[in-house]
Amino acid sequence: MNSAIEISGLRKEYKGFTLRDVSFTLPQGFIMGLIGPNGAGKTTIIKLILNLIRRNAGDIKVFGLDAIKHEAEIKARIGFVHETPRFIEDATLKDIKLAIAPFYEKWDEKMFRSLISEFALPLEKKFKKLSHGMKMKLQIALALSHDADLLLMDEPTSGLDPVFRRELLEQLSGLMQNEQKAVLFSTHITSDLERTADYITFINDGEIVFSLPKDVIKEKWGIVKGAKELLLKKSRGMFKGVRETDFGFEALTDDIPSARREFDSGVVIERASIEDVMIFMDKGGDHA
Amino acid sequence: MRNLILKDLVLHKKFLAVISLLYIAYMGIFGSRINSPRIFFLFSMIMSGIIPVLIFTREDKFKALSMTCSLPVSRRQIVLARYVLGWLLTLIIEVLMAGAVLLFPGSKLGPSDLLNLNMFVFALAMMTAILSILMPLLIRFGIAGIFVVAIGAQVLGIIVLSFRFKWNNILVALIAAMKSVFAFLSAGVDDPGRLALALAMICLVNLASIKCSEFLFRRKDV
Repeated sequence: MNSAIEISGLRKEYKGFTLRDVSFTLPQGFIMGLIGPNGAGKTTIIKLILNLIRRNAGDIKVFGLDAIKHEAEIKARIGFVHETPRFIEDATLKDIKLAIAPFYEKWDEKMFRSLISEFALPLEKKFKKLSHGMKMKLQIALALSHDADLLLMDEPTSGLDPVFRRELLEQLSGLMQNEQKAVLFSTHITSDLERTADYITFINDGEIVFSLPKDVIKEKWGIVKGAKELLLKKSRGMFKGVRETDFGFEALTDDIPSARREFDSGVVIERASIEDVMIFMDKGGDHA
Repeated sequence: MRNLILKDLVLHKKFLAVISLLYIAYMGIFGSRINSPRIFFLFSMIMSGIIPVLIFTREDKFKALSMTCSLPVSRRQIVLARYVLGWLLTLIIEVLMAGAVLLFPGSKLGPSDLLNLNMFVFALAMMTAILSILMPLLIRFGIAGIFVVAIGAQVLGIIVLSFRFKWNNILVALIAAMKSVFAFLSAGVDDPGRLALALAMICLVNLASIKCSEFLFRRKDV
């Protein structure tokens, strides 16, 4: 299985924030969701892949090529959607298309026209007159119109209505019919990941907490609920995160069978959703 | 590189058209009132050199650089495209300004004053001076770089005036050096050797400026 993105030992230092030892692989033919709280480093990773910011250490390979040495070659195969769409504000959408299209050998004008009409984007309108959702749609249309092998999307569904969000996610899943393609997208909307992602990478405070196939999380990760007295010191260590209330405790485990053995029938174990995982693992997982 | 230049021309076409027309009309009137081609080129080069700079500051203003850097181009290509577009626009607008002066009724400057090799080299030297200083700062710091130049020049002026007696010898030497450069350019470049030297100096300064911009832009986080 060839990898679309291969990141190892990536480090980026800012004043007050450091992205540390980030390593993960996204194989071709799959969608990876990048999740984490605000300021965790999701946008930084996407910017590093696009070489928009300099890295302090580590390697990034896209389709087996070094992201800096083969920058232009790699970017020709990438469709990007930035968190905040930025174009020259007083340019019309038609002008933006005219400016962007010549950069891509595989530009598909028919596809672009079809997406523009599907997204109801007015080509004669100035960029500054568009709502945030419309601006995102324009970015998505541009990213999908040059047969990109890798889509890098930073919060692509933010500001989009639920109907369009669903359509976009279906479109992304549809792209995976071609096993050469791959998608990496960051999001806060965990239901988007439940629907489309094959892999989930969770990042917190600049560090990768886990990068796993979604099916593994769905099968093995669970929420254990029980009385407080059951939560002994030794059991606490087996959880990824624990939340205690006046009535009992809730804890996240990545090994449901072990949790069953440990607590027997004294607790209730439910499958964990991505949102559960995100909430429990944020801030080290301890919530009083 | 061609695509990058076309991108900027397409995205800034209206701004470019309006600002160029205003500047050309202004320089047409100004140039027709004076009788020194050297003063005309000095001012018109500053004005035409500002136009590409204004275009690049617009990208900074709209924070659209991340989009440019996400396109399939290298940072080096982006820098080179900016210089080429800068030179092209400056030269084209300069030619149009000179044309406006010649066409303006009652103009004191004639075709022989403006269309000669000496003035061409003088104009190139002026263009080099303007763009080679502004571009690295603009490329690295965006619009703030231009403010740095403007404020820095004023601060430098204040410092020089304040210490003019203490640094008298240095200042005299600097002024003498500037005078000799100006005398060299004013003396004419009819001699092929002087022409070659002038063009080589212009190329060298531009090259140094491009290398400096490349170095700075590689280190810029977008």
